[in-house]
Amino acid sequence: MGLIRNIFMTELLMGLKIVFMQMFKPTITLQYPHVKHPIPDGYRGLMSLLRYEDGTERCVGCSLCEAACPSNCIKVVSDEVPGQPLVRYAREYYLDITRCIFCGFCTEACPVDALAMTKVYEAAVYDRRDLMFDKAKLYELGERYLEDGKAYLTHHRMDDGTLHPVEGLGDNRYHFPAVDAEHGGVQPEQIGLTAEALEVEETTR
Amino acid sequence: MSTATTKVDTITVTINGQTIQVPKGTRIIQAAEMLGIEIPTFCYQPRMRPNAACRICTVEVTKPMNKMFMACATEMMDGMEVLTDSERTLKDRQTNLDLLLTQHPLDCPVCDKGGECKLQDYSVKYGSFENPFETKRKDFPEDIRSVALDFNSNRCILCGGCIQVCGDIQQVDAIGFSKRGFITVVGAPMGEALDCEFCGQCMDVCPVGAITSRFAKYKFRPWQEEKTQTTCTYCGCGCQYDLRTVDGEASRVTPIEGVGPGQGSLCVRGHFGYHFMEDDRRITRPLVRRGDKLVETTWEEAVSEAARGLAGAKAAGAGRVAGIAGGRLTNEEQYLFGRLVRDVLGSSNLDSSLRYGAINGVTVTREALGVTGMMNSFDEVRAADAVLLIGCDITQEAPILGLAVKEAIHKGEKPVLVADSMKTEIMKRGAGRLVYTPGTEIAVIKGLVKAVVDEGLIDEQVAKKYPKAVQALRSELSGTYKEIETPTGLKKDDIVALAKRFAAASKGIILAGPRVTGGLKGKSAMTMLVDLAFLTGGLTTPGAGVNAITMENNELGLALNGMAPELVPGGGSWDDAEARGKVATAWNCSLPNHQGDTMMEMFDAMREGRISAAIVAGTDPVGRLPQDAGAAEALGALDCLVVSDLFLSETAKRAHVVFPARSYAEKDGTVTNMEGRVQTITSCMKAPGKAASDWKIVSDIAREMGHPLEYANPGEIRAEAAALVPQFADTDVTNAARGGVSTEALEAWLAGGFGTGMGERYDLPAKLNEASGHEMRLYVGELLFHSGSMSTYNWGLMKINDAASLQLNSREARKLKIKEGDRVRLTGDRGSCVVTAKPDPNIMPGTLFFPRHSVLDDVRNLVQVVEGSEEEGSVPQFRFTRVTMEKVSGVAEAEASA
Repeated sequence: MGLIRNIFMTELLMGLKIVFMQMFKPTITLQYPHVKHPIPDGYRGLMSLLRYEDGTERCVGCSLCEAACPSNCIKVVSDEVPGQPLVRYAREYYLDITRCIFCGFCTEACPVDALAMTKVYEAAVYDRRDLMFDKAKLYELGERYLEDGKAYLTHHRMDDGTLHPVEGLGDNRYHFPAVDAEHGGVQPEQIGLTAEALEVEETTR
Repeated sequence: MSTATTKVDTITVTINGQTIQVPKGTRIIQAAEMLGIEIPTFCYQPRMRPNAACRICTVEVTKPMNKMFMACATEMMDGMEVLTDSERTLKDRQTNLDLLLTQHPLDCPVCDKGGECKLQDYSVKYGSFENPFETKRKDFPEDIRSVALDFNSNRCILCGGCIQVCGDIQQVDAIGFSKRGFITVVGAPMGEALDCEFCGQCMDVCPVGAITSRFAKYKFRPWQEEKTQTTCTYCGCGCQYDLRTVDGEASRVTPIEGVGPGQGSLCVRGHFGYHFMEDDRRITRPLVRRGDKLVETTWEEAVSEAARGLAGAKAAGAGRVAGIAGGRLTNEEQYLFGRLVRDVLGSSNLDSSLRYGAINGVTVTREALGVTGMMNSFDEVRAADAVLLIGCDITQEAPILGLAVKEAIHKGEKPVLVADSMKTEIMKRGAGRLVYTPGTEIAVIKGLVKAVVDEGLIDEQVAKKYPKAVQALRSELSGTYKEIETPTGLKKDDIVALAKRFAAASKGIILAGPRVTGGLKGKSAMTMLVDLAFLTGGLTTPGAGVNAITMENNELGLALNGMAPELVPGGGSWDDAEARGKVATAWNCSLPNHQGDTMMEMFDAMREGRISAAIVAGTDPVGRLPQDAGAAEALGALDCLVVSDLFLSETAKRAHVVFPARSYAEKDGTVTNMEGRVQTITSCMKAPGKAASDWKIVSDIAREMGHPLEYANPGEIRAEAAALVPQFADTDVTNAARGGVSTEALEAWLAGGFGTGMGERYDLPAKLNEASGHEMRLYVGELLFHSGSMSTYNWGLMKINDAASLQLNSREARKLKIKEGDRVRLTGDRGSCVVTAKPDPNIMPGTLFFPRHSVLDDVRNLVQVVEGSEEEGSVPQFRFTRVTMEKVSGVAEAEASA
């Protein structure tokens, strides 16, 4: 038997059988980069920062993404918005894509859904320095791939579905108590205490 | 009987099955802490009485009764059994947290406390994530009207810790609860903007983010910060704190509970004065003089030019070089600076900022009592029976020692006796008060000593043990009170009453301020205070004593390093040949034969050309002393002036070579506080540009001069210095702990220095409050917010207080129709200037006060300097002067004169 198998090279023919079978099947090779695979929602591509519809930056500079990042590739420098005391924002935001492991922990940590991952996976550049994303670059990505970001947040159900509906981007903007330079401190009217009630309080004292 | 009492003193208690013996009166939370069991609490502060407001510390007591108790407020009973992790305890804890979270907003991501918030931590640890209660959150606008502290009432859990620390520890009662019920808020009374001392302690004790710093707002996250324990370098208290940095930039300062002289308290300078290190005005590169200008150069060129200049003067003759150092240098840097001047440059002309007054306090206590620095520790001040403050605005000049004094009064209802030339803050709490004419401290002290002698207030044991010394004082003080009453404006009865109150206390502590040591005849005044302490038993009773406070951070280091012509390293006297020989042996050199010039003598010698080169480090004599002292002309006449400083000070502007120095946050080393504690400072920030530690600068110059002083780090210098200065060997040991005053030292003094010169000591200077053409007395002194020029480089402190305005008696101002903000002209013998007036009820009529931190202001230059005699420590008197004040009428004239 062994001799016959050697003479007729049956193993070779068995292998070629698969080759010949495949020759008559339709091809599935994509002509990348001319043709691309459809990317599912929730794909973890390049990071982006999002804005609210009125154009304000979502990021409040809380640095929770920085704390959550396992590869320490995020750096947030927070500050007060110039001219708007008490409003917090990220003065600078750096994301080192060369170190990013695309785990998405940062987007999960974000309390205001400012971070979302796009479907962009073609991150190759000629200069590695271009992979040090700064705030401007991240917001630019967010603007360009807004739909990706929305889809990402919806897919991963970043909000638990109780605070606001999952469809679309939730509006969990932070509320900064207004600054009243004139009075400050107590503003009883703000919590529903009427002027009459206050009067009573003052006369009884 | 004795066994019974010991039984009462300790009790046996059981917590979570662990049994422990604790002293009677221990609270549950303290006993748990001893066992290492954590009980959550928001309002409990170890230094304060229990508040029992937050209720989170409830624990289950199973024996002797079965009940829930507040762990922070319940004193334990013998045989008590407590469970801190029982089901019932945990349930109560959870309910408490749930109730707090019905109101507390969940804005942690934008709250500065997020990450170190107790409510956050406890919620994670003990809370439930399903709050059964209806939430009702507040939406008050955040109060940011105060310059340093922001109040967010929405986050407040009303634990009252801030109010307690403000009332009990700081004792200013600047904040309190206002309104009732749901709308209760914490803030300044009447809903006004907070305007207080801005010590920031309320912010430190706040368990949530209700009180936050305006200067650090949103600029940090606790987990991004690096903590470095270091020593505050603003005043002589030397508090310990954590300087926190984010990426090498200072983010804030936090106190360390129970550590250092302050025990966890900080003042406004310590808390908010951390910006000067990053100021743009810092010198970053060495500068050399080219014609009229200072130009940047390389380090090597600057070193070689400095070395050439100093070597040239050294070669021209002995003693043609002078050195002046400041209290801003660390112990190691001072030691090496002294060695450079005395060993490498071979000159005995070495002086320091001790000459501004502190030298008198230091030499008197050392000569008389053998103690360099304070006799008592801050803890002894806290436990004192009575504190006598003379010429010492303690809450401004040494705020944390001021807190110790406040604690002494508060705890035991003990008297604080204050003699000062204006109504200081501590005087308002004073049981006895003397308000005297500025500049007459010596007469007041003489009056007090006289009262003690005349009224038979002398300590019995002292009278019995040292009858000769007492008799000598008695005969010296046989004069009338007239010579005291006339210049000081005090009445005999008031002086006697104060003396009586002080003598009645068994542990009486005397604190003398810079107006005593730096006033007219400062050394005599200080010696008279030692006499006073001696007569009232202060030198023989433990816990009592006499102390001079120092103003600059490391002034005591200057004394220990012998940075004055009359001192040698180790704090010994220059006249002491043995001490000098020890130094010469250690340095393997021959020290110059004669005693060198003091600072004022140096200035004369510089003007006359006898000194042609000088090196100045860490101080600014031109900016510190009035024009009348002639520092500017003297230093300007030099062939070579080498200065190392952080900023281009007035002295540095006149230099030939300027080296950029490092701030305390950028260098390592040790500093000595006024109670003699040697404490470490640790570098945690990057020095700007080429800035180097002063010891490096000195070392480089010495190497260039062919006399290498090489060290790898400050630790090596300290090891070398410790051979001469034994105090440097150990850190965090106070003078009191080192043994304080020995009987031998006291007896040696009584046999020697006490008797000799007693006649001169008790002779009041003729110039005291003499009549002159100018009727107002101007005093230039310290403010709480600024201790010198360095603090003015902090934008934070400048925001809190940048006003350099003339304070005058408000009633007098009304009479002269001067309102706040009006411009007034001051005319003295040394010129005139126009300043802004600020009426103040605490200033006495006929008196004016001007803060000294504004180095550029002309007021300082109005002061006529009275040079002190050699017996009086050669301390120039430059704090008082007499001026005429008139209102500048019309805007045009004010502008023209400005």
